[in-house]
Amino acid sequence: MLVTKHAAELCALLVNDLYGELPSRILITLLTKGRSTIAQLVQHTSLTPRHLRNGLAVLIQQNLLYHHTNPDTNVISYEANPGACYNLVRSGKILEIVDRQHGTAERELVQTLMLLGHARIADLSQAFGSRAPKANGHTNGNHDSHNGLIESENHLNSVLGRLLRAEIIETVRPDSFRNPTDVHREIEDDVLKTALGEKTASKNKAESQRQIIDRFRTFRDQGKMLKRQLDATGGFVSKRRKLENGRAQNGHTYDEDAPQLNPNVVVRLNHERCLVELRNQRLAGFAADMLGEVTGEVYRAVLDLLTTNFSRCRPDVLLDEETISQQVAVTTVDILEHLDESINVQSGIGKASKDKIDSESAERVRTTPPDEDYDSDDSDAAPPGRRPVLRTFDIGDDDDDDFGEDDENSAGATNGDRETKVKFEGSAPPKDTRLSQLRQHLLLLTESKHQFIRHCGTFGRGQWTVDFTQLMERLRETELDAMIEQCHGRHGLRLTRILREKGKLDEKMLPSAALMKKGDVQGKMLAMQMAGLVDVQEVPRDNSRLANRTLFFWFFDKERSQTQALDDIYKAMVRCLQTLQVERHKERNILSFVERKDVQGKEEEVMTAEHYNKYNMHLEVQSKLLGQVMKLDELVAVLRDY
Amino acid sequence: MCPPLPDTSDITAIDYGAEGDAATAKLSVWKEALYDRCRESGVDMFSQDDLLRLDVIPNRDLMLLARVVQSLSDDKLFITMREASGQVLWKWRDAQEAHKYKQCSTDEQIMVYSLIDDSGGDGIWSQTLQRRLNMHDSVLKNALKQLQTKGLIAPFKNVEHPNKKMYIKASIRPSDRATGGPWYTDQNLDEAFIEDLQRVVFDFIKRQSSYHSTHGGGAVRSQVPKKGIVKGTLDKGTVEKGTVDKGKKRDASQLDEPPSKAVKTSVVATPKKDALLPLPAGYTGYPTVRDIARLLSTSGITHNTILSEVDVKKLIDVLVWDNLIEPVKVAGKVGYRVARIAKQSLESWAGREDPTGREGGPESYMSPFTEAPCGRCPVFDLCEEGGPVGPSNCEYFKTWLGVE
Repeated sequence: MLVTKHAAELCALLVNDLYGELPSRILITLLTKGRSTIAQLVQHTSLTPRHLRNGLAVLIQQNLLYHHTNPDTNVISYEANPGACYNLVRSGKILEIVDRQHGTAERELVQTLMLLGHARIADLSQAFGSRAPKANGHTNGNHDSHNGLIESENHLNSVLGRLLRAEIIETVRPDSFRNPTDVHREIEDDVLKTALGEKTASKNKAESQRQIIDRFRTFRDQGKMLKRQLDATGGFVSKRRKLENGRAQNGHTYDEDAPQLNPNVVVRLNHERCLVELRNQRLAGFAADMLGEVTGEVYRAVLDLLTTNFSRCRPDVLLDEETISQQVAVTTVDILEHLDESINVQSGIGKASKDKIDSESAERVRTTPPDEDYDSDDSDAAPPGRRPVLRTFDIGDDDDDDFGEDDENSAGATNGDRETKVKFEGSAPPKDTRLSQLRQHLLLLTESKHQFIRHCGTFGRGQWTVDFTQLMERLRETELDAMIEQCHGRHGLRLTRILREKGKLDEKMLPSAALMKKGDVQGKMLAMQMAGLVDVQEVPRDNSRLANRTLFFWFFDKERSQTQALDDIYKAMVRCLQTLQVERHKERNILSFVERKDVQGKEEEVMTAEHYNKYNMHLEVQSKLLGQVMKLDELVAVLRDY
Repeated sequence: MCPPLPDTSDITAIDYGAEGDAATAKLSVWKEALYDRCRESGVDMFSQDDLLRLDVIPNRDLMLLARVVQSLSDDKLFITMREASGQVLWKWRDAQEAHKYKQCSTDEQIMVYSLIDDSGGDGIWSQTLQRRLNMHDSVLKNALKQLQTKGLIAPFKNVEHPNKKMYIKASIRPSDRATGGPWYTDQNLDEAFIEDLQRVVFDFIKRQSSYHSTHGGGAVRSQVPKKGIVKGTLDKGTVEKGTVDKGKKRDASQLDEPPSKAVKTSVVATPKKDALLPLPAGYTGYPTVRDIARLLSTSGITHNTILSEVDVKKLIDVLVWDNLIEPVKVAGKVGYRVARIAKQSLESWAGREDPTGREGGPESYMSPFTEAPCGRCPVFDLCEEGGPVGPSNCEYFKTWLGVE
């Protein structure tokens, strides 16, 4: 991963904030100088080797470094892992999502792992096991669940097992601290070396390529060995986890016979899997923003179901795999089962009369992801399996209205309890109406400009899938659009969108397409060129090179704008954190007072009113700044990680 | 029937006189015949072969044809053109137009007039005239002046080159390209007009593509709503009341309703929990370009400017590019609906007096980047710790955080 200046600054700042100045100084040296040995680090940092080793130990404990011992020379080289450093900023978000998706006990464990970096299972059980007496042991079985915290070794084991199987945590082995690119190169070298002696035909090339990929995949999946073992032993746990997903945390009945884990295994947090869950949250928020809260919730359920087995957001570039288990689909029935009962799928969609609805377009099944230019709507041929569709519409139509006119045609079941009694024989059971209302939301998601989901089959009242790559591209574009709009106004956005749609465009065409004055267009384009969003290509019509004999073609460089936006965001994050430091420095007297053990917890009583107000103001400023950093991180995630 | 070559000069003088009269008379007959044939043929351009094929010139006499065509050209009834390949073609010109050339008294005037005539509706720049004709400035000016006083040409402004002095034939109107079409008033892009039209169109699309709910789209389990609560309080154009008037929703009278009036009533109705909801998938009632064009023409807000469907499409395209509306294809036809429906306000955008122009307007997605000072910072590029501007002395952050 290449790091810009601001990204490096950000990493150092984060490490400084959490682990102190020493590791931060070492880290910034590693980031600027690249891979170094201890001797080189001594030279660059002017620290004593003793200090240096202390600092490196901290960094390694927190998984912030790659290190590698050359087997021939026994020299150890260290290299910064900027991705891991950046992930520090997401700690809070990850804890929140683990809490929401898996439960409080799981969150506690993840939090402990975050503090420790990586830890042996034996150490973990010792730490948590020592708590047992406080909670009266696990004789009072009912007691365990009410605060949701881990209270016994057995509980710990089951929580660990669950998280391992959800891939939230992974096992650590010496290889984990190696730069994956290095490992890939080594494997490549190794494979090609053996092939050198033989004949190097093109057939062999493909063969060795496959071999490289295989071996690298084995390397990458080593952290999931334990998961696979667990999957093989206890089959029914997964079902339980799925059920818990929906209803957040109501009572954690853990297995009394949780599989005993090898106490010598070392585990750590797997950020890639956490990203998948964070992405689900972001996408659901996106859908809610576009179509409404209820639809967002429905979408969330779909995503949770679809991504259960995703281990990462983007396919690994080192493995040539195009799509990661892309063609997973869920059925409407599954979604309904998974959806939180408290969500009222009846609301959130407007009502239209039946003759205003074209069910053919709405229910069209697309078995393949649409092309980049989504204009292939001409294939309106009715796919097989149309019959149940019409029926759903009859029911769904009347019910997704959310005010209760007393209409006779209504299926009744949802229109209030007074009718259900009468209409037993004719109306479908309530579950079925809920299902068809749910389908309305799914269809809405499908029809959206952003194509949140794709209707890919008719089995089980409709199968649905998500084309993540394309969808994320659109989300990125939306984010970028918002940035452009707020920096350069509606007109700036309009011009860049025209360029994106039409490709390179002659300067003379722009004013008429955008319905803007020529001078305004030129001013706007110039401003955006300065900002690096658009650029101009000059094509001379003849050899004279005169301005009026030259064609000017404007174009929008998406890649470049995105990287630039990303770097600007890093910089903004750095500035927020730095401002926080400045604020802390300003209030250092109060803060050091508050840190005292005898003050903590009773600030209001001990401090004078003036100081207490100041302290509260500072807390407000801090939460505002940190909140901003989190929001910016969301953007970074969209642009870079998801 | 080529005239015989004269043997001696003295005979010729007499002979030619008598024979010349007859020849001129014949020539004018042929001229007329050829000209009429050309007009009747319905073709625009004629090559030499085409002219011969019209069967006017006896024996396919090339010399005669040359003389006839030459004479027609002199009378400005034929226009000579040259193709890229070098082939010469002729076009006929209306006799009335040709007559105008007769009004030109000098050669200069004819030359100038013919260039202006050729330029057609787009007009021609005075500098171009000078460059083409290589005339002296004062001669050209004089010619232009005289042509103007005769009412043959007129000066006008072209929107593409507002600073150039352009001339056009007085008898024709400037082309759309030269005037800029309906979007221009007095050769200036009428931005206020466009902006207001956009607002009207946006409001219309918003109303037609959304469902006005009085309960909001919240995720909470809502109670069974009370009967009849919505009756009469809601905007008729937006809401369908139960099954009672199913199918009558968007008849012509409602479509023609002026937008501001309709929305005003909806604002009065319980504003707090009101929300716009998306319409179910497959909804066919999304307004199309034609619907919107009809709205604009019947509402009369464009006064005497006539907007064609192409013009309206342009307007809509711009709204799409602004991310305010989005196209949606249902049942083979493309309709438009408002983007980011869940967050749009119920107020109408058009007809507001506030100078910011944002009030009641479309709610666009705020990027977190621009929420904090850095995203809008004019000196973001300079900002550096320890530099002239930096986090330790940032005024913008101070204001944003409300410290000092």
